[in-house]
Amino acid sequence: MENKIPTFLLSNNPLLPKARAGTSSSFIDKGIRHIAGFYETIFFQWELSRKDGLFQRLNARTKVLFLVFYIFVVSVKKDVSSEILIAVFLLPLIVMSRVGIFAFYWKVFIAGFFFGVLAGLPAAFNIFLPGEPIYIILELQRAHDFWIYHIPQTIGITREGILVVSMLTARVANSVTITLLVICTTPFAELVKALKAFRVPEYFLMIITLSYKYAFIFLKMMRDMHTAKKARLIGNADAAGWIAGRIACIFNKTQHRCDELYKAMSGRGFTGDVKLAKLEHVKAVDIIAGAGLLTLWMFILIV
Amino acid sequence: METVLALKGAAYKYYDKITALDGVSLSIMQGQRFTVIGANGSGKSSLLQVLAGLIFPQTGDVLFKGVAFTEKSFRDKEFLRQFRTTVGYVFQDSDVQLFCPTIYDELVFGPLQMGMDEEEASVRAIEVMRMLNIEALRDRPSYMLSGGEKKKAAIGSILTMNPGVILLDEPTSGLDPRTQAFLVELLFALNDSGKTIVVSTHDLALVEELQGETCVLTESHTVERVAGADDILADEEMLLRVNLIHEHIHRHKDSKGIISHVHRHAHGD
Repeated sequence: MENKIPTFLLSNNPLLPKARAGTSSSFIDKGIRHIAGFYETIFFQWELSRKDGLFQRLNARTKVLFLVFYIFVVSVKKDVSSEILIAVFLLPLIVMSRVGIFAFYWKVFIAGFFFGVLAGLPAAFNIFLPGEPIYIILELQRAHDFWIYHIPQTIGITREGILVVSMLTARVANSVTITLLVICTTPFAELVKALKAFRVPEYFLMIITLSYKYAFIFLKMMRDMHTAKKARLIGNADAAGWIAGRIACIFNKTQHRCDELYKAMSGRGFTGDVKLAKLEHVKAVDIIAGAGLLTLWMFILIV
Repeated sequence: METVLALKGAAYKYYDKITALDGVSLSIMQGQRFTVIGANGSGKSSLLQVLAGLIFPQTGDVLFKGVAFTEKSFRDKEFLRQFRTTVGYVFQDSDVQLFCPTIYDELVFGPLQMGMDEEEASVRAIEVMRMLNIEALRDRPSYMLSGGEKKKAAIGSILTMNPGVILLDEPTSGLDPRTQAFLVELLFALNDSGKTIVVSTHDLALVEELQGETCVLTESHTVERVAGADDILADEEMLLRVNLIHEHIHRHKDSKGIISHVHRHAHGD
C-alpha cells in the first residue's frame, strides 16, 4: 500500500494551488440558508400542529370546511367594518390554538402589506380610480386625455381609493389569517386526507404527498452537496457553472429515485389505483365545533 | 420443504448493457434463512429485486412455487395479489420505501392495496408498530425520523402485509449496534414463525449470526458457491477470491522485536 501512495500525499507541506477566479457564491449561500429556513418552518409547523390547542383538537375536515366558508364570507363582505369584525372574531381562536401570536401576525402583516397595500396602492390615486382627493400630490396645469385614460389636473390620494386599498388589505389579511391558522394547526398528512373527503381523486393526493416528501429529500441533497463543496473549496469557484452541474446531477438522481419508488410501490401491491387510509371518524366535538363555526359564519354573513 | 423462489440461469443487464446477474441459479426453500453475499456491485440487490418480481431477467427463469413468472404474469390480478402478499421486499434505502404522508399510512398502504378492510389494516398497523417500538412515531412523516427508525418503519410496512417470504437488501447497513441487534432478533423471531428470510449483505458477521444457506456472488455477477454459512465462512480462499475478505501485512511487537505477518480480514472489520 505504501508504495502506491502518490508523493504529494507523503508531503506534510502541501503546495496550495492558486485561488481560482470566479463569481461570488454568496447567492448560493443565501439560497441554502433559505432552504434551512424552510426546514425549520416545516418542523416548527409540525410541532405546532401537535400542541393541545382548540384548532389542533378538531378534525381536519371540519377545519377545511371552516377555511372554505370563511374565505367565502371574507370575499363577499363589502365593508371594512365587517372585515374588522371577522379579524376580531379570529383573534381568540388563534389565542386558544396556542399559536405564537406575534410570529403569526408578523406573517399576516407581511402578506397584507405586499398583496394588499402594495398591490392595491395604485387604486388609491385618482389616476386609476376617480374620487375626491384628500391628499394632493401634484397639480398639473390642465387635465390630460388620451385613448381611454384621463389624467386629472389635481393628482392625489382619494377617499374612495383609500377605502378600496383598506378593503383589499383587510380581505388579504383575513384570508391569510384563516389559512395560516388551519395550516399551522393541521399536519400536512391530515390536510391531504381531508381533501379526500371532498372527493379529490386519491391518485392526485398521492402525487401531492410524494411531491412534498421528495421536495424535502432533494432539498436535503442540495444542502449536503453545497456543504460538501464548501468543505473542499478555497476561495470562490464558478458558482453559475456549479449550479448548472448540480441541477443536472439532481435531475439524474430524481429519475433514478423515480424508478426505485415505482418498484417500492409495486412491491406493496400498487397497480395504478391508489387506496389511501381515511381520516379518523368525525367525533361529537367536531360536530359541535362545526355547528358553532357555521352559526358564527351565518351571523357574520347576515350582519 | 417446498421451493418458494428459484432462479434458473437468470441473467440481467441494466439498460441492456451493464451486467448485474449472469447465469444465476439458486433455490430458496420455504421457512429457510437464506443469505446472499458478495462484494459491492456484485449484483446482490439486483438478485433480490428479480426474486421480488420488481425487475425481470432477460434470459433464464425466475420461479415462484415452481412456476416461472414474467412481467406479463403480474397482469393477472390473482397472481399479483398472491405474489405480493407472499413476497415482501425491504429496500436498502428506506427513503425509497417510505412514500406515504405518515408512518401509520406507510403501514396500512400495502394491506389497503391488497383490498383489505381498513379496520383490519389499522389493527395490523398498530400491532406491528407496537412490536417494532415505533408507536410514538405513528403520525410522523418519514423525513423526521432517524436512520434506525426509518428502517423499522420500512420493515413494518412489509410486515403488515404478512408475507411468507421477506427479502431484505443490506438491512443492517448504516444502523447502530443496538438497532442491528434488534433487527437480527426480529429476523430470527420471524423465521421461527415459519417465514422465509432472504438477506443480502457483505457483512460476514451477519452471515455468521444468521447461520443460513448462503449464496456467494462473484464480482463477475455469477454464483461462486451455495452452502451453509459455516462452510462458506471457512472457505477463506473463496472469500478472498470474491473480495469479501482481504489480506494485508500487520506488524506486531513480540518478545524478540518487531515481526511482520499476513492477516486476512473481513471487509468492514
